[in-house]
Amino acid sequence: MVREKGRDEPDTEDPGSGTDPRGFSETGSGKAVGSAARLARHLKAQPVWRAARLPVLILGLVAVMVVAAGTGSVRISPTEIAGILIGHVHPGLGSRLAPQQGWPSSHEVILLQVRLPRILLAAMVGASLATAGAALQGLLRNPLADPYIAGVSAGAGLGATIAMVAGMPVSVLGVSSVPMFAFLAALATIVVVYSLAQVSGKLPTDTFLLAGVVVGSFLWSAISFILVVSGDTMHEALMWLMGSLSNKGYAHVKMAFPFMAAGIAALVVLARDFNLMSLGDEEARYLGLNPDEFKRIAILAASLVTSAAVSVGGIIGFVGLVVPHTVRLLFGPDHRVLMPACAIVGAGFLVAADTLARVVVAPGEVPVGVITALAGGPFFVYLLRRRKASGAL
Amino acid sequence: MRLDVFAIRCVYGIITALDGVSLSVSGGEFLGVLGPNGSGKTTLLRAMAGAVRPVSGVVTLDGTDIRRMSARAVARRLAVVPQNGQLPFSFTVRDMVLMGRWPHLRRFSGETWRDLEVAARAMEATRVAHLAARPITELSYGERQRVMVARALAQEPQILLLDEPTSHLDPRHQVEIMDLVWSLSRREGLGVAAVLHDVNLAAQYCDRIVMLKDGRLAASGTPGEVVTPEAIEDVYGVRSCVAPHPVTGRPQVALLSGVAPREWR
Repeated sequence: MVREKGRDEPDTEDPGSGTDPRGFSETGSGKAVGSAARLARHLKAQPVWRAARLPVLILGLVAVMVVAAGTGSVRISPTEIAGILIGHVHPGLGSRLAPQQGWPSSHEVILLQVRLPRILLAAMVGASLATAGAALQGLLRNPLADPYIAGVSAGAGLGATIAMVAGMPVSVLGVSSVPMFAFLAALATIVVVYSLAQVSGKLPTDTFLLAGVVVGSFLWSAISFILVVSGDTMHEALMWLMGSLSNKGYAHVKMAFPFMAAGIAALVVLARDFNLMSLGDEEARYLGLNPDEFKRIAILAASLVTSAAVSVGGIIGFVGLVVPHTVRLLFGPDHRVLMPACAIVGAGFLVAADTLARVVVAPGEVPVGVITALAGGPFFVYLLRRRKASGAL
Repeated sequence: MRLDVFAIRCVYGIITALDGVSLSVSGGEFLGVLGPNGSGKTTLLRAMAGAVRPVSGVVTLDGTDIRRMSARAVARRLAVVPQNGQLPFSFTVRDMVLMGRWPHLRRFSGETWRDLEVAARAMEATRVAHLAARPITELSYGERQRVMVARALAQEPQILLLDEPTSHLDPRHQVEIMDLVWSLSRREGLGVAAVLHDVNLAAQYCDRIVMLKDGRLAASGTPGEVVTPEAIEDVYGVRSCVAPHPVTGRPQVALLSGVAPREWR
């Protein structure tokens, strides 16, 4: 990611010239090596805008979060938001910066107890789904892959439905039962799909996709069956399945954060390996990456973040499909940029979509999954058409 | 550095792709692998690179069983130029060639100055430096093939394997690639093994040729020993005349028709 900041910048003109007996210069003369050094410098040089991509995206994400925090039945200005947050983190500093609080205490409660956890959760879920989507598209070399491709969503849905219909106590061992059931069922599903798809120690891409689709449709049928016979809880379960971030609090944030952070960090660290993997199993191996080992680690990491995201946010579609494609169209296929950029853009996208979800039919709510599909679809088509017109897809 | 193949047998399900094939490639040598479609050429190349595990026999790099080496350790010594495949993502030439440095990089470090310079030299040797910023998907087959060779060279290998490097190329680009590979083996001392479809190109450039038929070694030796009308008829099932190349003196094959007018036969 930080190719721009190279170490080993040579002080002399031709580092290593003549010391490497197998230099690939045509003639072996000093002149040819000199031009290689020039070219190497050229390869390292990057336009400023490329280096500024991620910081700019982070600023954009912060702006989206501030707007989201201020939007709703009660408007809160950005300065108020800043004051409340600073006062909350460091009361002494807050009272010095704003001696007489210019906001009602209800604003403080709304921001800190209602909007902030929801925004944090939306950001985390969005980042998780987008990064996992990018990982699976690269890994399976399939543009239609999304985080739910391996049946994780159906597994989580079944777990959540069972928890709701069976009337589980609201919390088991201090953890809310619905997300916990969804999370465990999602992980169990990926284990089943993985072992079904494995053929003598290898994991062929096609069998993995097929196993995911088959297990997914089986589980969806099971969900439908349970919903039909369940009666009253059907509405609650359907809302969950459509994906919603309403009525969530810091408990959900805390529950999901460790899994998401660990998984996203792993995917970002593995970005260079994803580049190799996107060339295909065989080429990856020729370049030194064992494809079977890598798939195991990458699928584990992607499933972990997806399961955590689904268990707290329900099945929010389109983020994991559209965000990676959009980022790839903008910044190219290098996963070293793609992975972190997807995390940031996915977070911003879902925060924005969730804000829309709670204001468009206020005081009612639209499931955020509906918004992501409605907003993401046309934008994606626009990007695709524009790129096709310029002939650069 | 030498690569040895000892009596390997490779099986896909119930089909035996290779049976009892032995050969070796050492530094500075250019070996051509010939044979009809389905004779096991590509399987042989994949086994030599450690991507296919033989059910019996062994492949060794400088005496070490390739199965005991990690993919990474193999890739630091041996590079493969695969057949032109599909390219799902439009990496730039620069990024593509730098991927050849992967086996030399450590997990948390970026490319060092030396990595960039090795990549730069590989790109100059294959004359793709001017394409550095172009997406690989926009290149012609000939340019793309040279980029793949550049990526292989960026691995700093001592053994280079190529799978049909000249297929889909016009005569000029065929000669260009063969010249490049030949000079790598001569000047840089690389051991090269190339699967080739064109018997004449193989006879002209290779030091030694092996011919495969139905997964077995049908002939092996210098072009003069191997490229004969008898061997061509045995392996490919076509009749031919073999005459020396007017300039190099290497054997060149002229194929004979099976159905055409009498004077053609």
